[in-house]
Amino acid sequence: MGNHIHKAWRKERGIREPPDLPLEILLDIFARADPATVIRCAATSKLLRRHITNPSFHQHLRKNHAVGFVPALLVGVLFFDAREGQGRRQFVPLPPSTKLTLSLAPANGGDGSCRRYTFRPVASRDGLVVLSRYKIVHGVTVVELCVGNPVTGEYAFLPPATVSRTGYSHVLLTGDQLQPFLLPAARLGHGGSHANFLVKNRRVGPSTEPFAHLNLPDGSTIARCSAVVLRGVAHWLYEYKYNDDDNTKSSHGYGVVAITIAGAGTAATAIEIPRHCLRWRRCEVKEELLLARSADGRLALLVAESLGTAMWTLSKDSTSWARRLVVNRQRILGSVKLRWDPIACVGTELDWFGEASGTVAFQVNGAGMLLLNLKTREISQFSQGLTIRRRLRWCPYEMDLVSVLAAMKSF
Amino acid sequence: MEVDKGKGEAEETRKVAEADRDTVTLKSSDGKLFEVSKEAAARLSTVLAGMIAGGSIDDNGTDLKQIGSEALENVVDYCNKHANSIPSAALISSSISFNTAPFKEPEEWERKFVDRLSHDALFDLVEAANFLGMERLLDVTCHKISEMMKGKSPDQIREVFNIKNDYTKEELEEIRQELAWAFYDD
Repeated sequence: MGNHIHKAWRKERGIREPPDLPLEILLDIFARADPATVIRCAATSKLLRRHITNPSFHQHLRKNHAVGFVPALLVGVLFFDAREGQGRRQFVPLPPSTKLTLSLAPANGGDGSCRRYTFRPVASRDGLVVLSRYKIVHGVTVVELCVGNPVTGEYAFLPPATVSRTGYSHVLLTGDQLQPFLLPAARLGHGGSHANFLVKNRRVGPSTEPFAHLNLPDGSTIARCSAVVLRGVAHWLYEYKYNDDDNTKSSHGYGVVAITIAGAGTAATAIEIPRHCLRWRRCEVKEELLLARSADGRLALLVAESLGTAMWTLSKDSTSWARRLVVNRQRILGSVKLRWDPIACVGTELDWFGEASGTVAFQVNGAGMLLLNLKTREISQFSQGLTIRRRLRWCPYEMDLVSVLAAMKSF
Repeated sequence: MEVDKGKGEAEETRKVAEADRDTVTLKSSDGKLFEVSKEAAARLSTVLAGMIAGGSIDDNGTDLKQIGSEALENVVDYCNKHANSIPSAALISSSISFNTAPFKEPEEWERKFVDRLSHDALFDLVEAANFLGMERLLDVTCHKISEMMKGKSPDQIREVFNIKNDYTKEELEEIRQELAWAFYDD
């Protein structure tokens, strides 16, 4: 466009030719904006809309989104409150002034019943969510899953599968092979049940036993339901019990089980988490630990310590962990409204990690539900609360902006 | 430094002196001169780095005809501030090793630097950064402008960027219906 060449000259003469900035800079600015703003920018002129809906702009966006975190992709929070047996599911847009409403329920419950409200979010990635519910049919527990796009309201049901227990971990893989992958929150070690299954192309795949060769300690179980996917490898936190050296106290040890899902096989490896990474926690519960990824795409473990939240990042050769304090306790308590005196606000539990925006969803006693962005280090208070609620299921919803833009009508 | 043989001694001295100078002089479109640290200019601007390496820097002021004096002053100011700023990682105190992966968010001083600029000055600066190939400054200024766009209606965005509306009323209505949530407070 080159309109900058004679800009000073034009300015002197009071001539203002549209637009004020060259197109390449405008697109550079739009690439950094939040989804609603990008969509509004496309509503300013046909030329800009053509560029915003153009695959080359999407490539630019994808490249930007692939490195680091993009806080603007967090457009709201899905949550499911199971208090008093009444499932209450909601989507709350962020910031609350946006009127983004998402269709959080399949149009019918699969069986046409009003039970659709019992579906709860269990995994989310690239703008898609997995909802699940358990029901007991003739004394047998059945899990029902549906995968959908809350923006378009399109949901697909997977065939119900019989399971031996509830509380499975789910991971959603996106891209060419859209498949929710289930891992039972069951025993992983010797003598335990190794059953797990893949659900692919809406069909229940064969059960595999990829963990036997890992020789995990007896009684190892998946500790947290959420998984982190890095380059086609899904990572779960597992835990096991061990007795201290003098045999007087038993403690929990932790590790990461990594399963390569991209490609044909399901190769599994295990990475032990050194015990020194787990120090300085207050309650020593598994809810103080959460797998995440670092801005440069490495596996990380978030640890809620007494004095703040730390992130241990795994080295490239998977042999060592490096610690960095993400946010200290004082700053957390200083940036939100508290229900109690700060001294009494102890106890932090980490609930969910949004991989695209770098958002950590966590709860603090006396403060409620909080969101921390690892890139901007901003802390926001999603809701005030008295105590940590473990039955609450909430997950940050990150929009896949590219797919929204690609589906936009052209003029 | 390698000096061509056979040149006069005075020429040699002048060349050596020029190479030893740790600043470069830049000249704005309206003829004003600015001095900037050679190291910072080469580190922050691919265009200036190329000019310094290629020897096309003029001791009496390198002409930058596309950049007005106000924008060039801000560019120079930014380079000097950047040269003096402490990397943010060093500010995070921790007795234990930490990951020094760069956070690409603007630093506190960079935020303040662009926050004080007027609308016109900011737009001139983003163009200057683009022209000079200053990736970091382009990042900071684009980030600031994208923040300014937040919550603005299409009309307000048109006003900010001076964009001509070529949609019909019906087309605009269709666009709003398509993704109504994005047009929440219009």
